[in-house]
Amino acid sequence: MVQKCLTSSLNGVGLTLDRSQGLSIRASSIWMVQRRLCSTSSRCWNCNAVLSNDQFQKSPFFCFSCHGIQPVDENISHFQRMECKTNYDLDVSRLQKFFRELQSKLHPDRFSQKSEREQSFSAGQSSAVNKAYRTLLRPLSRGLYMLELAGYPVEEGDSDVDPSFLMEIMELNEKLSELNDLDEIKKIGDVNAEKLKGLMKELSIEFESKNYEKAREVLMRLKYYANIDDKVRDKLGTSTV
Amino acid sequence: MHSAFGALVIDHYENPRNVGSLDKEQKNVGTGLVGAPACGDVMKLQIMVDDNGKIVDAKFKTFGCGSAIASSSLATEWVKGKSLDQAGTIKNAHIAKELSLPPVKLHCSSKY
Repeated sequence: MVQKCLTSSLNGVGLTLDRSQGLSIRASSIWMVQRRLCSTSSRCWNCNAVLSNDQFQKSPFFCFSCHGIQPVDENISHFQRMECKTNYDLDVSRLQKFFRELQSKLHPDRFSQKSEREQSFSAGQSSAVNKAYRTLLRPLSRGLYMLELAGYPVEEGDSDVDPSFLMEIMELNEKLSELNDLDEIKKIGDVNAEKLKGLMKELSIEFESKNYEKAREVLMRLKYYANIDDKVRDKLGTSTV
Repeated sequence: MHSAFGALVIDHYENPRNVGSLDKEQKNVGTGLVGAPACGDVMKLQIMVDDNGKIVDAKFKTFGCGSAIASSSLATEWVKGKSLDQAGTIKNAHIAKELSLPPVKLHCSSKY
């Protein structure tokens, strides 16, 4: 099965097995091609153990048998990588804890004495986990990512939103740019934080009912208020960046 | 550091022309607002038109990136003194070309 898949994978990328010329394709690339085309199983590059999808889903990072680090699976979502359900509402403290646990196992520092291949797999896994964590951690980027997964991405060049809303945002921005009084700025920040909270609740409901069109509208408004929030933080010197 | 951008765009960014507001309640002032949901930026462009349909003043305010500031600044320069019809022919591609915006920044000029 695996052999058959491998051959068809190679054909699929325009390569043929030709003994006279030898085969000079890196095992890791074969592994990735193979995983993409064969949904049933693949093998550990190190011990050749068959990694069934079930086993792999339990740990997409290490071989269950030899515990060798595996190359990044590009086909799993950030949610799968962080072992979360694809839900807008997620347990952030669990996510943070899981992220730290994963990084303590995957970080390239742990692989400095290992082979070059393992070092490169560790760098890849570690950066994929970073990216997944950063995307899922904040409500805004998590929402945007969920829209992307659902096929409703917010794209450059999108323009929509009603004029009265834009006017409100414009005036908020104008007011904020002229203010120097910290108390006044804080007041704007507090009102804005309430708005963000309300929108996030709305968002959660829309995602829950898979109403992606509506979720997309809410997220676009959320983005404007998130920018205001950033500006308030900048002005108050409490920027988290 | 600025290698991706032309000198003109930097000049308009560092010394933006016509920043400010016109009184939107006045009858001969037109106000346009555009948002860019992908970046959460909003910009306002206002024109003052005389009885002959000529644009006598233009102002903008934007809370966007440098390219959006430069594009707005250049647009206000261009529309001043033009008739409404002439001004209507200005396209974002002209502005982007004049400012040599890199492709990734095209959307920052696309409000026009």
